[in-house]
Amino acid sequence: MSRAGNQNNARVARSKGVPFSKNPVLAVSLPVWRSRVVLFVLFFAFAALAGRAMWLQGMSTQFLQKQGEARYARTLVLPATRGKITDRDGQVLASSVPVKGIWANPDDVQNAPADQLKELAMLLGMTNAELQKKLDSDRSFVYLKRQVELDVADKITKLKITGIGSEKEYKRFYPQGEVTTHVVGFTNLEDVGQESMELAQQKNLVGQPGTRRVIRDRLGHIVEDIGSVREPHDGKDLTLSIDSKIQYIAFTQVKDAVEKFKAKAGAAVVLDVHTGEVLALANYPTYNPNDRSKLTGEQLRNRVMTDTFEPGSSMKPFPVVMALDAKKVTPHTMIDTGNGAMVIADRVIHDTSPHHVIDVQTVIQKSSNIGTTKIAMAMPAQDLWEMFTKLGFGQPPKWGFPGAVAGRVRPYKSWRPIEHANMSFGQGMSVSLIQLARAYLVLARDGDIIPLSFQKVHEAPHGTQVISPKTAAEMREMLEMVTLPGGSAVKAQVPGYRVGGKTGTAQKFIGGRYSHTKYIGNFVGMAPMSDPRFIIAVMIDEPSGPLKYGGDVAGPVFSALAAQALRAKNVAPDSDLTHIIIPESAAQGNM
Amino acid sequence: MSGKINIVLSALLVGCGLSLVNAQYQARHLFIELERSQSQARQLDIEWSQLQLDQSTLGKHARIEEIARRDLGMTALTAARTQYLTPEASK
Repeated sequence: MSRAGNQNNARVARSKGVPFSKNPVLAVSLPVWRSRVVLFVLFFAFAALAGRAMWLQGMSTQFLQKQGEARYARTLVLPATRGKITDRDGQVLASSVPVKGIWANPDDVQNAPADQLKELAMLLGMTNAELQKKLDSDRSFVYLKRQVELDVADKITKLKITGIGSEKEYKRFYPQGEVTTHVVGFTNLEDVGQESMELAQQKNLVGQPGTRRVIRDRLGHIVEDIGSVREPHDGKDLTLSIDSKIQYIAFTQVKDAVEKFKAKAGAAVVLDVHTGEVLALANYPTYNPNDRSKLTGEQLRNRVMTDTFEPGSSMKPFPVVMALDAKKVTPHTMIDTGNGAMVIADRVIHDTSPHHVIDVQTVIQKSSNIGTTKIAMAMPAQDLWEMFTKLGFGQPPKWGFPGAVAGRVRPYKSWRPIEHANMSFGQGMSVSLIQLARAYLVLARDGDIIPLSFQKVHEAPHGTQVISPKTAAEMREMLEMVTLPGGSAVKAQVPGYRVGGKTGTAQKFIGGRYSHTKYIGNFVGMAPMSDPRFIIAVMIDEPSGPLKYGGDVAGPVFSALAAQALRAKNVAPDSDLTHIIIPESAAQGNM
Repeated sequence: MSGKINIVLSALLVGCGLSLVNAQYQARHLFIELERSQSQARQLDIEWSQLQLDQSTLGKHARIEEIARRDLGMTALTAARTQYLTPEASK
């Protein structure tokens, strides 16, 4: 190449006679400073460029990279769903479904054509006037309607009205409605639990939304992931201990009883004897969690957990098992209950009718106040108080249920003798229905008590022994006698099954004195007696019909509930069908 | 000699470049497919929970009882009307 160039130069030089560099035109002598100036200007210009380049590359590179990325990269939020709540067999009791919240920027919407707004109002299920009222707002963001179902929201988006937008949200559905609501609870619009298990398990149920950085093209399609993806974590599903079949049975029975006895309210709870699981918890009046526009406190009240009442005679088994356990009495020890009245200090304790000399079994069967008092007074007050404490009375429950109350048992040191007597038959103290039901676990099991659970239990819990297995068996025999002819709760009988339990009736304590018209009737029982499987506790508040006593109002509910629950769970009958004496009303209750 | 190597290397370079383009193209395609499948999975998830809800709503005991009583004329079973059989082995 260089050889060829030299030849060319030689040829040019030959043709013109002078070499190019010696050409006279080029020989104009310019001042030296001019070239210096050009050199310096160019140098500084390049230096400036280099400096700028260094500045951009070195100093502000992060800012620029960020700005660049902002033009194509987007952070997407990956939504996480709130966990489902199911019953023990997996039937859904609460589930979240994606919906849309429809919002508007009122200023922009005002210009929209009238017929479009009319259609929008129709889709939102409101009148034109209602829609206009919402749009007559000074704010630049108003929700027109929240929790709109997806297909409706799609139609609204298709109207393409400027200033109307939608955002993703979740709506919680409760398919079982009012039947399970007192256990399941509900959430608010922001998906935060407000009541019962939704509230108690909020931390586990709520999901962790994730994020991912992506590159999007002009059309909004995702082209590529950049950086790491933070996976969303859906909320954990919650399996309750509730058996929706038994729950439904309990609910309908309580509802029927409240209507039949014209009562103010009613409640029932069913426990599994082996695991301590709460199989059903029903309240009436109740409410529909899917439509809470007309919610009252009465409906919201969970009478099983948060209401306390004087249990009355349903407490009697406990002082008696205490005496049996301490070997102070045997089931056949004779006790003189006299003519149905007994004076302690300056107060008189009455029996409903005089029983004279009866054995301990009959004290329970006939529900004698005097008999129980005599048995309880033979032991120090401290023992009774300790027994109550071991059974959980007066103790704040720790079963993870919001609002569960402790009830009230005063410390034994402040008991007067009459109070010692009263407490032996369940007066002067208050308990919740679930505490009462749990205490009966001791009698239904072999004398040990286990914690209750609202979630499905996979292995049977270990109990704490309270009384000996022999005492528990003796008391079960007495409880069975209560439902047999001569007992105080024959209406609690269940055809085909041996059952047992104890009634309780308490006058309501209103304005400092016991009311003579307002009662709370309760019945706590177990079935089947040969191998107890369920504890069923029923409470009827203020029955206003002719029947007021626990055995009359709560007994039949127990009977019907037990009969249906045993059949639903395929428990084999343990009693001879032909030999049972079924009271007429109880038999009808089963139909 | 060096000329030949240059030709081979530049051909190789072009080949590499083309295969990079192809790989990127394939990656985008697969990514789109993945996106589509994922959104389908989400959709199916939603549908599944919707169906579970429907199952629970339609399987409501109150509804079953009402239909059984009213439309099918059924009544609840009582122990008195049940024939209980004891398996041979347990006798």
